[in-house]
Amino acid sequence: MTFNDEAERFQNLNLTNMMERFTPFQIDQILAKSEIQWQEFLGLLSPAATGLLENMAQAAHKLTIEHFGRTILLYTPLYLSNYCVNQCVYCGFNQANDIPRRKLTLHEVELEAQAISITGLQHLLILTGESRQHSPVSYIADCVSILRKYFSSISIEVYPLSTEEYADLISAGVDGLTIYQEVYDQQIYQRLHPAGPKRNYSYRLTSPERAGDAGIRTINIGALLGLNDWRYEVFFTGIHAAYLQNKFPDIEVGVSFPRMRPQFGDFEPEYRVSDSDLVQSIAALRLFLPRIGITISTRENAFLRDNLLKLGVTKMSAGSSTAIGGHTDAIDSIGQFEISDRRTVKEMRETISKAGYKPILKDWHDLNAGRIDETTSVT
Amino acid sequence: MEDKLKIGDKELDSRLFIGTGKFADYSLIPKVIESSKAQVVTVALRRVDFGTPEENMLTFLSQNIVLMPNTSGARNASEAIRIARIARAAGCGNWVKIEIINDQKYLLPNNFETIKAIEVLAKDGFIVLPYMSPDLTAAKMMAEAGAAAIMPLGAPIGTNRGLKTRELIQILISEINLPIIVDAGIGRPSEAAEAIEMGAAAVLVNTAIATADDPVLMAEAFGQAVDAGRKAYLAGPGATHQFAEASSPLTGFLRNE
Amino acid sequence: MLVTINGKKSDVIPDSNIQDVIRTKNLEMTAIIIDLNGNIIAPEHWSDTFLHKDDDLEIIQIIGGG
Repeated sequence: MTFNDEAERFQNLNLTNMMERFTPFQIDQILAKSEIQWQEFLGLLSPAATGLLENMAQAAHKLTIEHFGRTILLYTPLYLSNYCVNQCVYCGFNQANDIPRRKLTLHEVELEAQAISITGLQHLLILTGESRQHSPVSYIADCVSILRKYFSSISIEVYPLSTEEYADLISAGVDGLTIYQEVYDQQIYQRLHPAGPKRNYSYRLTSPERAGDAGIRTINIGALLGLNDWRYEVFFTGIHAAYLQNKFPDIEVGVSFPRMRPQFGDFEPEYRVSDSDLVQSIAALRLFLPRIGITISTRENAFLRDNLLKLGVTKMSAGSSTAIGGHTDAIDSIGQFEISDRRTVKEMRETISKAGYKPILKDWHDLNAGRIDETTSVT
Repeated sequence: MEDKLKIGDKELDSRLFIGTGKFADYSLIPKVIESSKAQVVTVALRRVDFGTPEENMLTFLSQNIVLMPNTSGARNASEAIRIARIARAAGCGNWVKIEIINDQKYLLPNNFETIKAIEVLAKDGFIVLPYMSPDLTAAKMMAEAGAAAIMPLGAPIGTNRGLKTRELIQILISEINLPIIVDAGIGRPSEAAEAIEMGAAAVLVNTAIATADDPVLMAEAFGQAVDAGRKAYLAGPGATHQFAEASSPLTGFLRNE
Repeated sequence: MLVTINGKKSDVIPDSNIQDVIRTKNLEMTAIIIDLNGNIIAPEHWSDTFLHKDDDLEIIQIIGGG
């Protein structure tokens, strides 16, 4: 069984109808429970729960501190290549967009790594567009073998791979996978992905499981908010995360809440997701899955990020650039989307500390990875 | 409202299972069963002691009772398997409570040997209910091995100390897709009600009834407590609030929207 | 002839069947289960099942238990 089967079971339900039937009284009752099932998670995402948002936020805050303490893990993205064969209508790297295409040479990767590691960050997320010609798995592995000298944790956000390919990258030094389904509604998915291998909804949906089978240590999933009714998308993200937690008890599962940002091109999100909707999403997910990691990226502005800090978030990006070579400014290129929070890593660390939280730069070290600077002290 | 407990091939109305050990007199047992309305009772197998042979337990139990012979005395999987097969051959039906103990100090069960025994007995057609130390990984392996229910201990056997393992049992109730039956440790009807109220499918009580001053009256109390707990579980408890009005609101910033 | 009965070496008359052993121990026939070398022997076969040297005989009863 894969999440395909599980998703189908839920896609056959009229979730919108079910959500509309919740009353504020029922939400109040759900908030009193110590364990929350999927039906109740649906309730917390419903319109009726909007009036109890402060109560949800308080409960989410308390649960997060219980499970994670007052900590925020910091990471930064590193874009390796923007070549892409897909035509995701909402994405700046869309094949049809006439933008300069390039990928980092291995020398440039090393320069970027040095620039990032000066900031103290130890967790890195590397990204590429989907192009097996320009950024094949072997290229990603070559990049990783350089990056592992500088970082204790390397996650990939690349096109879906086979179990064997995931295993290859894991043995090259990758420990984390980030892959967003973008939109769980299958019809919308097909409409927004008119061409390229990404049209295969199921293959993308089951990627986290293949990485899990290959032995990945962390998995991060999400839906791109703005492509569909957020209540429906956050619900599916939640049950997907619950499924992965259940299937892989030894994997750290996390969820991101990426909201649509302006990007190159003229796509306008059809669905509005307000700040209050985002807060409801985060709090509902925290109450449903108390141990789940929750990421908020620099897509969101500084004011909002500072306020979301206490609501269940455990991980934030910092010092981000979505452009190829953006950490060294060596190359001028167009980013995948616009960054809102442009604070430096140092500024983020200070902000987090001021809020009474501890910024974490490293929570993982693979003893087998053989990093140059630490091998001797380990043995 | 119909609310049956389904285990294996049986549908039960009562969520109180009764153990028949430690009774001063077997003739009390039919009265205890009647006053508690229990439908499942455990029995044990022993080598005959030629000096002082005991009465046949079965003659005190009516035909419509579900017998659940235990494997007490077994120190490993193969002994438990042998005892289970003897019990079935002796006409005790195909239910079995696996109880494997090789810790004579605390009488805590051996989860590893228990998993091995479940695997063999479930394939052999038994309805297997393992007595276990509440541990999620072990419970998952038991479910996979073919257990029909999981019976975690509430406190060490015979101690009457109540639901000491409450948090761990709560996890089993949430995560395991089988009836969770709290076995051992429950000393009072209020504790039985608590276990059922939190979602346990049933409780197994022996010492608390057998050693009460009036076992028949105590059995009735347990029966009613279990009923009350189940009704409360089905009714869904009302909200209890930890914060009346938060002093520092977390969502105040949204007013700027 | 030496056989093991309930874990103890016991001397029984050669050519004894299970029925004979039960009778000499004064046991109530309906209350016991017989296991010979790991196999359960049904009551109707007690009189035609003969013991051999070094047999392992278990005489078991059902008692109260939790």
